[in-house]
Amino acid sequence: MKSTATGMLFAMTLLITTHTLAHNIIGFVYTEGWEIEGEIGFSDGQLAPPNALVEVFDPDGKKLGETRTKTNGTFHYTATSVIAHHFKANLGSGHAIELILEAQALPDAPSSRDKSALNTAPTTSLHTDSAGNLNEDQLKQLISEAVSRQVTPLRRDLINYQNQAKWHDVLGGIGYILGIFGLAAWLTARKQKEKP
Amino acid sequence: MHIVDGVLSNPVLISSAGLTLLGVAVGLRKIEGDDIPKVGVFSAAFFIASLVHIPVGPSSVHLILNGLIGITLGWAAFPALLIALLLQAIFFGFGGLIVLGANTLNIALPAVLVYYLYAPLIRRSKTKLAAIWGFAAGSSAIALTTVFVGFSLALSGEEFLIAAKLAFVTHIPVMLVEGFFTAAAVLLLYQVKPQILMGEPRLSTLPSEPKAHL
Repeated sequence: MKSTATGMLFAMTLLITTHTLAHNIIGFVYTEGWEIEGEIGFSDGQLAPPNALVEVFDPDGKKLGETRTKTNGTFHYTATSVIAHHFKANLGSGHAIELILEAQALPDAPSSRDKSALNTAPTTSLHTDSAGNLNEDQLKQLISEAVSRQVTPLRRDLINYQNQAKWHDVLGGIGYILGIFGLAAWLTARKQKEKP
Repeated sequence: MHIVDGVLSNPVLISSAGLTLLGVAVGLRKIEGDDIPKVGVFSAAFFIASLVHIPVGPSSVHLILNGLIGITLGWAAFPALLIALLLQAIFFGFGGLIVLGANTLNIALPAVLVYYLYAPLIRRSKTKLAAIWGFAAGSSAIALTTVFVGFSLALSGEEFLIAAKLAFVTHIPVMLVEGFFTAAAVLLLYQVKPQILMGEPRLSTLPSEPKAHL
């Protein structure tokens, strides 16, 4: 009988893989000019189901609009004003996520550009030197698009990395549990000693 | 199985936090000094279990262990799971701090129910039969948890049948795996440390009782 039990446990351990991941919902948003792209999925690599509703809110909770995920778990939204965008998606069964796109990630609105006239002064000279047939805005847009294209995969990796449970977290958690129950055991033992 | 922050409505959050507090209070009263290490070990086991992924077909499932925790700890499952869930939320971002009460209730209440349903049967049965009851305890704890999760979501506005069905169906592999795991654990405990299964959590007052079942 003992061998049956150990055999079963052995079989169990063979089945077990040590993926340190759980079914957490993760996602991120990034911009290309006025176009906001986002990606939602689960931390085990599963993508968000297609056609899931993604609602867009402004920082005060006013609904700006909504969009839906495509087949690869991405969604797309065109910003109309330079404010922080909050994207909320609920994939059911308690899986929900809120992604925040800060206003800085969006290009300067025409109205706000006048205010930043001071900053643009040095760049105008650069523009006349190098890019003859591109105006400053186009150049800015090209650069930001190129940078965001380069940064996106990095961002994805970073988020996946952050969502992996680390060994020191695991060990730390076990340590806390042992500590808490050790403390409880010590306190009760002390109480029992005092009683008689 | 972990509901994240921002899904449940406030009344659901508050009432489940209240019920969890009650459960924890009962659990703490039931823990005798000698049981503390046992509670700690099962708390740690739960903390780890959700990191252990078992491949099932194209996807994978992770253990929850609330059936095993139920039959071994009884009401003490509440404090054990509260601590483990709190640390999971802090270290791994599973669930969240605001929904901690709801998550603890949804996982610990099935554990307590399973304790009342199956612990007497396991204590009365011989090894093999006890393992079968262990299987039942493991899988029905998961089934109950999915129903409770569905219920929490329904009270927060999601369609109950859809939410519960979805949670139930996606967790059928977990129920099977959990059942086998619990059965194996019961078999092993029967061989090496039957007191863990036998003791009404009062080992210190009944030191000779477990021997009678051997």
